[in-house]
Parts: sequence; structure tokens; C-alpha cells
Amino acid sequence: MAAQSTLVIEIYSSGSAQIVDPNNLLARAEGIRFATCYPGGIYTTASFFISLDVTRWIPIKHGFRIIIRDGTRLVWEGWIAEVIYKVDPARSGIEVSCLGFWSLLFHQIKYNRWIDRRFDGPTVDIWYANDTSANAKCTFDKRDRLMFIPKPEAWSSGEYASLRYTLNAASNVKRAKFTYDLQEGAQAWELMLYDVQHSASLWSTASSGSGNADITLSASSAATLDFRLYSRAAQTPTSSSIYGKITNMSMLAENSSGSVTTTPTAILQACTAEAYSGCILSACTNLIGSNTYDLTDIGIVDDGLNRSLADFMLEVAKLSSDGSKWVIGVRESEADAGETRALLYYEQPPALTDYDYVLSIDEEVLAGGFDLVASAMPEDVLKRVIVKFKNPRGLEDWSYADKTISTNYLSRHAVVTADNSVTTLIGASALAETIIASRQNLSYRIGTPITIKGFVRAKTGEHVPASWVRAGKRIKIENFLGDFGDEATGTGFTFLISQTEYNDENETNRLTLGKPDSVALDMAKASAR
Amino acid sequence: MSRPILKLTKGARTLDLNDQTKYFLGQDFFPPPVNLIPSFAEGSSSNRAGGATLISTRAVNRSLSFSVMVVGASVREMARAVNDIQYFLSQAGNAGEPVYLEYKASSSDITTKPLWGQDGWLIYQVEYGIASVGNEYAMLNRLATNLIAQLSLVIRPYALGIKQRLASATGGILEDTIGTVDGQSRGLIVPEAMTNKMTNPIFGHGTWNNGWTGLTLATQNTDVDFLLFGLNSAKLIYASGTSTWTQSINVGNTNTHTLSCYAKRPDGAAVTASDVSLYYGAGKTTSYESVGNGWYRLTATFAGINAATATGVTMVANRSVYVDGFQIEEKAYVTPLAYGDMLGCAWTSTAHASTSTRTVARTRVIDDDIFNPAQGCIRIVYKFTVGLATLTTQRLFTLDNSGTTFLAQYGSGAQILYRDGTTTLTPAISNPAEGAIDILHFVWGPSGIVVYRNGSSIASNATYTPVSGQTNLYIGSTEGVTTHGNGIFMDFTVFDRELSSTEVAADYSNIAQVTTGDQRVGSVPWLWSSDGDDDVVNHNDTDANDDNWIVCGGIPGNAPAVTLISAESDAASGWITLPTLYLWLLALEDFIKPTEWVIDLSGTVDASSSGGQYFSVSVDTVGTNSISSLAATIKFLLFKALQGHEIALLVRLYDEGSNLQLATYLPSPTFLTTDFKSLTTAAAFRLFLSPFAALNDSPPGFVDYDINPDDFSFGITLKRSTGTANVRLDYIMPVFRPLLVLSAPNVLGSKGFHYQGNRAVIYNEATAGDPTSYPLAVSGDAIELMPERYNILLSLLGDTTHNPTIATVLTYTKIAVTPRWSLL
Repeated sequence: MAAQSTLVIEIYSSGSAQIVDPNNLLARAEGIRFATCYPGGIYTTASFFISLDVTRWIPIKHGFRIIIRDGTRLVWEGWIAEVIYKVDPARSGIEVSCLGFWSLLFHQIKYNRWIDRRFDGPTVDIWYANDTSANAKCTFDKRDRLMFIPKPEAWSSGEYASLRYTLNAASNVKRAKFTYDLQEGAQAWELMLYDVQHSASLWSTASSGSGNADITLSASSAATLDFRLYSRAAQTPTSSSIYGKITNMSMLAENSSGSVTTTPTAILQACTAEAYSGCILSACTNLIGSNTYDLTDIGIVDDGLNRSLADFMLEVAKLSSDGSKWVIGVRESEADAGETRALLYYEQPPALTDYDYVLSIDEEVLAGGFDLVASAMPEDVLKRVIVKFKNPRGLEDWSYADKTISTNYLSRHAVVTADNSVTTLIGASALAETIIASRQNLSYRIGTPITIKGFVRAKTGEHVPASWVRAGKRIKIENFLGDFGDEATGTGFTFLISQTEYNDENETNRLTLGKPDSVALDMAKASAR
Repeated sequence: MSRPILKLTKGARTLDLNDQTKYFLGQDFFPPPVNLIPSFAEGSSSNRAGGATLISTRAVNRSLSFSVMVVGASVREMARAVNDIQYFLSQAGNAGEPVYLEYKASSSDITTKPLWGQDGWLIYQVEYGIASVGNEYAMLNRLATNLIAQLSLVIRPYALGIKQRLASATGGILEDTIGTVDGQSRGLIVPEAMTNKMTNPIFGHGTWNNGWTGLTLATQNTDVDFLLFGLNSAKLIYASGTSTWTQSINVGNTNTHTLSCYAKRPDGAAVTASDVSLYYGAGKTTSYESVGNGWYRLTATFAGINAATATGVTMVANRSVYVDGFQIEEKAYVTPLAYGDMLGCAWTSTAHASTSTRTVARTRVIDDDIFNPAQGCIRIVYKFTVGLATLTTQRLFTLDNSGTTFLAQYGSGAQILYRDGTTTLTPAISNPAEGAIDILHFVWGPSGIVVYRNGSSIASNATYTPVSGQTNLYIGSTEGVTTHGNGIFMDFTVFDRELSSTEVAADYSNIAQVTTGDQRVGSVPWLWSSDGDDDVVNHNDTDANDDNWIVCGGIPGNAPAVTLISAESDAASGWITLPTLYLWLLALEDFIKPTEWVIDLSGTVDASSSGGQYFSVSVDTVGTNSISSLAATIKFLLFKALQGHEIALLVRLYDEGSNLQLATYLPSPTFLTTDFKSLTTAAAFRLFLSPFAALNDSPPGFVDYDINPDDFSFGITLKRSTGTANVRLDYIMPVFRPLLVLSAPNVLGSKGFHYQGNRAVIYNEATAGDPTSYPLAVSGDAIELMPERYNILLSLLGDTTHNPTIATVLTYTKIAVTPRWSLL
């Protein structure tokens, strides 16, 4: 007999404690449907119906963790989001709708900061003029820098103008990195980074000149810092050539280990801890791959608190030093032994040089047909990618990457507008490399979803129930002896499964296939539209 | 020639659609089946072989179409006749006074509806209907002579029966289901008082054979095919050694006693003296009476021995029987089995380890609902459980306060005695034997009085003097319940007019075919209360008459009956004093005393608490199980009956603090604690309902393997959101669904209410007829009594702001049912 699904539902009130279901209601569950997606997800939505008297007590409660299994194999995991009590003359019961844990990360507002590169912001505490000092005698410029220009008024010795910054999050500033430039002419001025919390100077310069500073606060981190311009004599500035300037600034927050967090992997691990405290994810970071790209000087210009954890992670996750693609989402709790909460994954998508499932176009499990699209549309094949971004001053800048493509495809360029994660030329270049790396060859995809019924063959030949097939796996289409388009011989028609929709009523799984786009390109394309 | 009766009625108005003069019912009429929409749960793909489970059904209106031949002598007469049908149908849809279509299959027996009983009538409520004529209308010769009128109706889902007030009952009444293959009652027994001196009569003791000795091959049987009572019977095989299986019983005197038991052979063949005999110190001459399904009742009568004596059975070598239901009673004849768990019975000490008493039974109906003093007929189908030669007086009915008493009985000297209050008829009969069934019609009216036995007149008198002053008609006993019949009332139907000899003969021939199959003709619905006055008090403990429950049985029909409940409390200011009533129903196949599952707590003396005491416990914020001792364990029989039901708990408590929270706690067989519910309490006793939870249901198929559930425990858990203080707990009472909550939304001083379906109103008890008044708020489930069930109806008055004073009495002034029939 062919492999067949036998779906059962488990609901957990907490940890590994399943609910008490004295009437075996879950065995009555029917119309089970669930969906997965990749990247992101992996488990997105699920629903089922239980026929019953809706006035009955039921043990199913909102927020409980739910697992759908095929036999003993976990095929979906999430939480109960909605219970609809259907009062139907013909058929009353409850319809239970579930969401994957990934969904909750879009509704978990980020609380911690890691790298703050802002010179100004719409919120308080971002380098604001401190009224308690001689700010009235100074002109400030914060468009791409912190610039102090003392007005031609009489300054007493020791008077200072200051711009104040408060991290205003769960941790304090541990490290400050910046470029400075002090010009005092013939007068006596001093530019200083001051720890307001501990009333101590962290760094200063009192002579004309520029340079870089990288200050790690040794003993105690500081919640509030000032950049100050001191008058070191009773004097009146004589021209605008007297100023103090800070550029290329990064304020790095102290993490729980007393150091700073600067790589995507480390930041995502820290985000995991934040999601864990919200009871959404496991604290386990075993599925977070290693991407050590140092973000200290690039990206994450908006490390504000007004965004969701998922938005922020997507922004961080995509950056790499070598143009490689990285994706992020949530895997099932059982992806790591002993876990009872879902796990964050961070990985490079599986290479299409290998595959997990095989499908023949004349196979009986294929319900209906599908379109195979080979595309050299302008947005699918690119010779040059120009990435536009806004620098820390809010001004537009750009960088690009070039690759050689077949002359048959004719030259074509794309201009991509980066999101706020890219603020430097280095970051823009890295993103351009990432994008163009996936746009050098013909693009092929399945134009409409493929529906498979019952089972599909695994790479090793055995029949696998259709319910097991999830997004993030690869499927190879057989029947074509020659390879396609620009793909190397032997790679065949292998697609990444980007979305699945399983319907237990007819035991079909609807697969959306395609080559994986980078999140950045998806976002860029959306922005362009 | 027999013809169907089919009439349209609305209030006092009728239209006979088969009067054989103007209207002739077409042959296309047939009683429609109930229209039920089933809902199935199919489960997921994991359900590969099990199919779908029925979750619920919902009855919906149905269409009914049939033709009536209309006969006339002129065009105008024809038009009028057709219009009369349409006129009637156009009045349909008025819920206050519906149009009914009344049907009885045969007009050859009794053409009028009974005053108290059913007698085969099916009544369809018409919601909508039209009449039409066909294309033959254009044929002139038809237009003035005969036309076929087509009636297209929309009717309610079920056929209804005739509304019937429940008889008021008390004591050890019982429905006879012993040996009925389909489990349906054979009829009502109204037995006399008795003590069963066997101490483990149905092998219900925790050690099934406690007190029994003898046969080495005596084993516990749980196979339901060989069970009559409770959980066990004894399987007896005699190969060698001792042949007896006995308990040591001292009956206490030397008076005449009768020993009895039930026995069944493994092959279902007749049980005889070649298998087993009764034993009392020695083998006794035993009579064997088939009671159905292979079961026999063995009886023997002898002088008692005032000393411990081996009492039971003795086996014949190499034979095997199953035995159950032992009884030794101080009587010269056998009466129905009694053991302490039965309705109206009690253990004198430890259950299943002591003798059992049965309180004298009584069943009566208020005369207005059952008796027309001007004329009438009482039809009784009576099965003898003891031959008339042995029990020489067997009372059938008694009308109290009726001069020299209007009554009927089988009398000594082999006769039937029928007295109308003035004249006494005593026709002689040959003594009916045990198991014999008589069909009797007692007629009174302007034509005199007549006794019919099995369709034939056996005595009459030409004059009848109407009786007066009566209050109740007693079924199966004298007014003072000193004389009973002990037989089975397989029917007790009362008509409010004289029946002719022709009608009686036809009626007899019609129903005799039913009794030949040993099946009931008509049920006798009853309302049982512990002291017989149809009331309950506002708590439940082991004291006599301190019950908050009644039992209703003998409900006719084969679907939940339309149920009218009228009741009133004695609260000082009625609904003002206690504005909330909880009413819940348990419909069980086997009766189980609700008193067994009440947790009546004690520790501190308080005259106003149930049982005279309450329990005080300190409650903090921990959500502790420290009061898990408040959980009660009840035997699995109840759990078996309740599997899958929802349970909550009504708790009478007094809070010395605040911020109290309450959860339902089910420690076994599945540990489950519900969410906590915050209470607004007071330093006074109040009534609180804990959250509902569901009990385990029976895993499918387990019962087929004789796998029974474990005992069942329930209780409460208390905690506080903040603080620590004592809570006084009086009682914890389980509540099951259906649960109905009636509450007075306004200040209402009346004490009574009428309830049916989803409507309830207070009534003005000061006005004759208890006219309806202000509507009550109805929430929860509908209470409808079930056929073939012990319908245990429980109640509590009180709520979270009113003290449920335990002495408050709720009197059921009337419970009446209109049966529902799915088909016939």
C-alpha cells in the first residue's frame, strides 16, 4: 500500500504537558489543513473542525501549543489563535485556527538595542541638545554628523555645549566608536565624550586634528552619554572654522555577557533570548548558523524600539560578507532534542545541487498540471545591480556589483533601493553582490502550484506521505534528460519548495516552487513596485 | 370496517378528513417518519476504518402531502367542502393555538382520545398548509360529485401524543424490565412494603461473593448476557463436593417466608428442578416462572427458622446456571425483588452487606386529570406476578373519598370486584396463575356499570350513581396503601366516556396481540418523591425526606417528551427571597440515589447547614489541593451512566474573606482541574456554580470487552487571588447537563412558575388555575423527560447573593408530558 497520512492532533497546555481531553475531542478533528512557507515560517497556518455541541466545555484554549502529527512525525507546530463557535443548523462545532510561532514575532516589539548608528531620530534621547549647558551659544548640525559650531558670543572658561544620548533600552552603552574632528583655531576648545551617569570623561581631545576613537567602557556601561564642546578659556569664537565634529558613529549596547553584539548570528541569538522571555521561542540557538559578518560599522541604522522582532531580524539576517544568502524563520520544537518550544533557525537555503523529493510529470500522484516557466525577463537576469541607500545623514548614496551574463540575454541593469539596514557603501556593495549572485542565469519556476495527492517519492525511492512535504525542502522534476537553461549538468529541474498547503480532506499538498529569492531582492522588488 | 381517523383540530374546532360522508382519506396517506438531520464527526485521515460518529441530531420540520376525496352533490357544496379544508389550514402557524392533524390507525376500537393515557394517537402540529385540486376539477361531472383535494403540509418534526399528567408516586415502585430483551419496561409495579433478609442479594459487595459459601465452582460473572442486577451475577457449576450456594441467614422468627431468586441456563433453555432448586436448610420444593430472555424466577415458601440457616440454592450434578437477585421475605408469596439501591428501598446498614427494606409504594393521580365522575372507562392490562390463588386480593385502583369507595380488585374467592361507590359487582373468574395477563375494561356512566374481561362483559348493573368528593385515583393500591396488587400494570388508560361492548371487544382484539408478546400496551407515567407529596427541600442529605430530587418514569413515547413543569417554593416572598432556581436532569437506565454523590461536609455544628454541620477550611493563594479531601468518590455505575457528560458543582459556602476563586476538580479517573472562577462572596452562605468540565467518555468498543470504567471522583479546589481566610463549606453537589437556570429579572413576589422548553413564567398562585404572569429569564438547557429512563430531576434555589436556605421547600404542583413519537 502506498504511504498514507494518518493525521492526529496534540495540544499542550504547557511544556510537554498535553491537555486532558476526556471526551477524545481531538480524535474527532476533521478538515485538517496546514501550510508552511520558506523562508520565514516554516509553519504558517493550520485549521481544523470538531463537530460538537458548541455549548459544551472544551479543553482547547487559546495560546496552547499545537502539534499536528502524521503518525509520530511532526508535520506542523504552532499555537491556537482563534476558536470559532459555529452554530449551524446542519452542523455545529468549533473551527480552530492556528498560527505558527513565526507569526508572533511580528507582534513582539523589539526591546533591546545592539548597534545604534543614528545621529538623530524622531524619538527622544537621540543626541538632543541638553538645556542645562551653554547650548544657546552653540549651533548644532546633526544631518550626517554631530557638529558643534560655537556662536561668536563670549564664552566663559569651562562653559560647554552638549548633545545627550540615552540608550533607553534594556542595556547600556558598552562601546562607542566614531571619527572626530576638532578645529579650534587659535583658541582653546576641547571635544569630549562624557559619561553622565558616572560623571566621568570617557574620551577627549583639546587640539586641532581628526582621528578615530573606539572607546570601550571599562568598568560600568553608561545609560547616558554626552558629546561636549568645552570652552577652555574666556573667549569669543571668531569664525565658523572653529568646530567639533563626530562622524561614523556607532553606539554598541552591552549584552548579558558584558560585551557587545555585532554579528548577525550573535544578534539573532540575542533576539532568541528576547523571544524566549516572551514564551514564544526556545532559548536554544542550535539552529542559528554562523554568520560572523561584523555589523559594527554598517547596517542597522534604525535600531529603534518601534519595530517588531521579526522585522528587525529579517533586516539583520540578510547581511553577509560574501554575498551568500541567509534566511531566517522558526522550526519545530522537536528539531532539537528535549525542546518544547519552537526554535529560531538561521541558515543558508539548501543548495539546489541536491534534492529531497522526486516527481515525475506523468506520475499518478500529480493532481492536475503545471507550468514550467523559464524566464530571462529583465528582473530575472541582471548584469549590474545598483543599490541605493540612505547614509547616516539621510542622503542618498549608492554602490553596485557587476557580473558577466550570457550575451544572448542582452545587458540589463537593476536599481534596488535598500532598506534602512544599509547605510554605508560597504553594506550596499555587499547587498548588490548578494542580489546579482542569484540573477546571473535564466530563472525558472513553476508558474502555478503543483498539487500532489497521497504521497511523493523521496530521493531514496521510498514513498513519503504528502503531509510530510514542507517548505524548505527541494523537489526534483524528472523526465527531462537534458538540463535546463543555464543550470549545470546534473542539477536538473530542482526547485526549492517555498510554500505548501496540505488538505487532509483529500490528502493533497499544494506546492509552490521556485528558486529562492533573497529576502533583500524580494523587498527591493516590492519597493520598486 | 376499520378506517383510519384523521382530523384537523384547532382548540375546540375539528374537521374530520375521513368522515366517510363528505371526506374520504386517500390511500396515499401514511404516518411520516421524524425528520432528523444527523451530524457526524469523521475525524482526520487517521480514521481509516472507523467511519463517522454521530455527534448530534436535529429535528426539523417536514413536508406531508396526501389526498382527500371530497364528495358533494353540487358545485357549491363541493366548493365549500374544499374551502373548509383550506380555511383550517390557513390558521396554521399560531404557536399559541396550533392546528393539529390527529391520526389514529384504526377507528374500529375507540374513536375518542383518552382522558389519561395515549391509546395510539399520533398528533402532528401543522405549521403551514395548503389545499389544492387537480385538473379533474375542469370535468363538470367531477366538479359536482367528487374531487381529489391534495393537502400539502409542513409539520413539526415529531408526532405528538396526548398530554398526560404524571401520577404522584412514592415508595418502592418500579418499572419491570426484568427479562425484557430490548430493555423496555413491561409495565409499572406498585408493590407492598417488604424486607429482603438476604445481605448480599445481587452480589454487589466489593467482594462479590461476600457472605456466600458452598460450591467450589462458583465464579463471578460480569457478562451482561447473564446479568440482571448491578455488576455481577454468580455462575454456578456443580461437579462434586458441596452442591449448595448459600448465605447464612437468620430470618428471626418462624413465620412463613418466601425465598426467591433468578436463574438462567447458559444455553437459555428452561430452568427446572433438574438444574437448580432453592435451598433453606434443605432443598425446597421450587416453582419456576419464566420472566423472559431465558431468565426464570424460582420461588419457594416455607416456615422460617429462628436461627442462622443456609439460604440459597442447591445444584444438580453436572449442571450450570447463573443466579442473581436473591430474596427471602416474611410473606407467604413472592413480591418483586428489593435491594437497598433501588428506588424506594434502603440498606438497613452497610450496602450489600445488610438486609434491604422497601417502603410501601403508592401511585395516584389527582382525579380531575384522570377521572370523569359522570361516565368513563378504565382500561387495565394486568400481569400477575403471583397467582390469585396465592395472593387472594390484588387491588387494581381506588378512588378515595368516594362514598363506599369506587374501586376494582381481584378478590378472594376467585372473583373480580368492581364497585362504583354504590353497587358492587363480583363476577367469578377462575384463578389467574402467575404470569397470566388480563385485559380489563371497567365502564361507568348513564348506561350503568360493566366489567369486561378480555373483551367480554362478565358483570354489569343498569344504573350508575355518579360519585363525588374524590381527590385522587390510586393505581394498584388502596388509599391507605394497605392492600396492593404487586402485579404489573402493562396499561392503565382512562377514557372520559362510556365504551360500548363493541368498542371494548374491538379494543381487546387490538391490544391482545401486544400482550401476547409480553409487551406493554401503555406506560403509566409517574413522579416519585421520597415522602409522596411531590416536594423537595433545598439540600440533600441522608435524613428522611431531606432530598432535593424527584424521579420521573414511565414516560411514554420514544423521544424526549414535551415537558411542562409547574412548581412553587415556600420562600417567604417567593422569587424575591430566592430569585434563582437551578434545575438539572439525569436520565439513567438504572436508578442511582443522588444522595450518594452529594458531598455533605461536617465539622462545625450549625443548625442551618445541611446535615447540621459545615466544614471550615483556610484558603490562601496557593490554589492548593489541600482540600482535595472534599472530593467524593462514587461508584462506577453512575460514572458509566455519565460518561461523556459535563459536570459542574454547586457549592454552598460562606466566605470569611474575599477574592475567592473556585475550580472544579476531578482527581479521577482523569486528573483535571478547570480554570479558576472568581467569586464575589459574602460573610454569609451563598450558592456558587463551579466551571463545567467534561467527564471521560467510554473508549469505543470497550464495553464489548466487558471493560468497565473505574470509580469516579469529583470535588472543588479553592484559592484566593490575595489574602488568606477561612471558608465555610456546607455541601458540594454535582450538577450535570441538561442544566436549566430560571431567574427572576425583577422583584417578583410570586412563588410559583410554569416551565416548558425555553419558556418560563411565574404564576399567580393566589388565583384559581395558576394563570401565567411575568416571564422568567431562562438560560441553560431544556429539561425534557426521557422515555424508558429514571429521570432524576434535581433542584436548588439560591445564588451568589441569596442564601440557599436549606429548609426551603419546592413543591412540584404539576408535571405533565406530551410524548413525542418518531414514527408510530
